[in-house]
Amino acid sequence: MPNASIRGFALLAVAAVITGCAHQPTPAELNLQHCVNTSKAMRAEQNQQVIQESELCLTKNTLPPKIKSTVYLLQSVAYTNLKQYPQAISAREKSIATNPHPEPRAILELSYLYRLNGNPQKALELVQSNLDAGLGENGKGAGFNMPTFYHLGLALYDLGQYREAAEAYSAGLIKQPDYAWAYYQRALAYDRLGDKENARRDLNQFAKRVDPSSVEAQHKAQLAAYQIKLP
Amino acid sequence: MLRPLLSALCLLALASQAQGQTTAAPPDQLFSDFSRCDARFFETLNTASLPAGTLRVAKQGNVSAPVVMNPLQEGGRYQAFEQPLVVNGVRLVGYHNEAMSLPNVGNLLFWGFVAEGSVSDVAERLKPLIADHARLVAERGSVSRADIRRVGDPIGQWRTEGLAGPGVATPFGFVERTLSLEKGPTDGRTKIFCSLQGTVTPALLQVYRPDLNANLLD
Repeated sequence: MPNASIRGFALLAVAAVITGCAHQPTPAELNLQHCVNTSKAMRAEQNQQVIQESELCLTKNTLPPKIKSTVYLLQSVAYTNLKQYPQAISAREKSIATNPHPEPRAILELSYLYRLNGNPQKALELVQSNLDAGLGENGKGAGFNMPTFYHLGLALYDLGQYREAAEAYSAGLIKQPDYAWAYYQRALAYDRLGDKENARRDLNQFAKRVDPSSVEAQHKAQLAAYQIKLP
Repeated sequence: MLRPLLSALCLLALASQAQGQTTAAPPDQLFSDFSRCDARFFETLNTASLPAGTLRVAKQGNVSAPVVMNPLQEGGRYQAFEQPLVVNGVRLVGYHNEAMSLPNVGNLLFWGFVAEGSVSDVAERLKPLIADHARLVAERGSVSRADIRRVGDPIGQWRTEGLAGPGVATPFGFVERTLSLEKGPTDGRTKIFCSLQGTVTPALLQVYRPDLNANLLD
């Protein structure tokens, strides 16, 4: 979730300016320093430190809701990096609850965490809650794009609803036809449906469009099963 | 000795006749299946015994479909029957099959019959054969039954609430399915067609239009 981290850095930079200006740190500023340290630890990819510093930041300060939400967000990212998904979910839910203006994308990110934690039904319900409320990626009534349909497809696939998953990826691809990973995921759904022809077609599209540096062993194995090589 | 045998044969013949009266004749059954606006019509066509000279059909995998030259091409989307197919007294004289993709609207597919007679007469005669006919709505000279599906809903699940309404584009992420009876291309004729419009994907077409190449609109 790189976007969430970037947003976190930007907001915590405000705190860094406040503490950096002081010559003789007051106790309040020292408490605030934990928030700055959270940001620094995140940049250094020190996940355990992010978790420790963010806890101190949250307990020792009375933060404005937006900053508090951002600290929980960074905490969630750190837990995710450590594959501690229940804690990541808890932190992400607090981040959403404390944000005075929750973003529809945050719900999609939470859906992703529930999938990682082995709860695709909850993941599906979260995406559907955005659809029910008309909450597109850019706000209410702004329409739905690839991220919504991609997360919808992932949850449906995990639930074994392969045809519906393929349908969701197709809808996303209408909006963003160059998104390689949607072709990959749709290929998996077609494969499960026994539709080898469309699976092959999509894997060829994936191979043509994907950044090869992001392709891992499991993806290569899937391509190899169809005798498809990356260019 | 022969009398009981003859009586039994007569009884059998009567029973067979009675059974024949309660079973729908193939054209009526075919029309009922068509009115569902799903794959059933194409499955039934695969085994239906229809009067000679009516629909010309071609086999497509496990289903059959009325032959048209090309559903994507203007002028290639219609088959005129040599002999009308008579359904509950209504003469069906041709079959139309059309598929297109429109920017900002989505995909549109229409398939169905052209009948002789006015919309009201045709609707009155065919209504008993139409699936879920209690939901037919008469409006502005046409009769229709509509439902809608959100992408990601179970593939066979359709909603009857939240319809976009006539003349309004189906919102992105939804598919609208309609059975319509409308004034036909010429006076005294009525179009009876099914449509799918909106975010119509190959995965959906594989289920609802198995007679088509599911990727024809890609």
